[in-house]
Amino acid sequence: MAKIQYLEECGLELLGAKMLKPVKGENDLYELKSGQCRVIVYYDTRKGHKFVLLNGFLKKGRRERGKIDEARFLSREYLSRK
Amino acid sequence: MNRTFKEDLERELQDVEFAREFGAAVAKTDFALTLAKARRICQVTQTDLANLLGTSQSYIAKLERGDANPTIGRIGELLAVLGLRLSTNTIPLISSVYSETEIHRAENSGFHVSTLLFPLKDISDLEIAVHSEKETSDTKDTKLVEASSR
Repeated sequence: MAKIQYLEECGLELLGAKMLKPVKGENDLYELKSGQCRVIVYYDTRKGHKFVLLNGFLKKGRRERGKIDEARFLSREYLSRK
Repeated sequence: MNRTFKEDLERELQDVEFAREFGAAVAKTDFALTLAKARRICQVTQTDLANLLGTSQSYIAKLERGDANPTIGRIGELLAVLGLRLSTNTIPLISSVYSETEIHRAENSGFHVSTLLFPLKDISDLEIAVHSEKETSDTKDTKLVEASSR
């Protein structure tokens, strides 16, 4: 939760410290890292520059495509609601 | 319906166990960001820093991600190698790391790298900080040369 607070306050600056990582092949999706925990966030660049937390999980292996697809689906849902 | 992160956080912080965990995570993240920025500005690579300290590059990476839990002495060692020292301060647990007044005060008072105070906003802030430090003691450049020649 501390990292979420920092995400709110520092934004993309966390990329430099490798706490935030862009998701490969996905625009505007980032992975917030804290130990084994991962939270996929959507970076909404429209007014206000928001980070939308989509889904969180414990990283177990190398393949996490399912989680990313789920996040992509959720981000679309978020956009359609706007 | 619309809960904000801050409201949730405030509620969760009522729980002492959570507050302890959160405090630890905040301290680590804060230091991590400060270190990452300081190292980048001093133009020292993780590997170089690790060599100077006799640790591994992966440990430095861990520190910069906020996943490691160094001792205060270790932090001092690390920063000294970069020609900096730790300056501690306390602020309310839930407060913006980017408090403008804090930045202003720090800029005017010749500080080094503050962990608990706030991670510096951008490079220019640290340069101001380093610059003001310069006036009171050795130049940062000399320290860096000393550090890298060790």
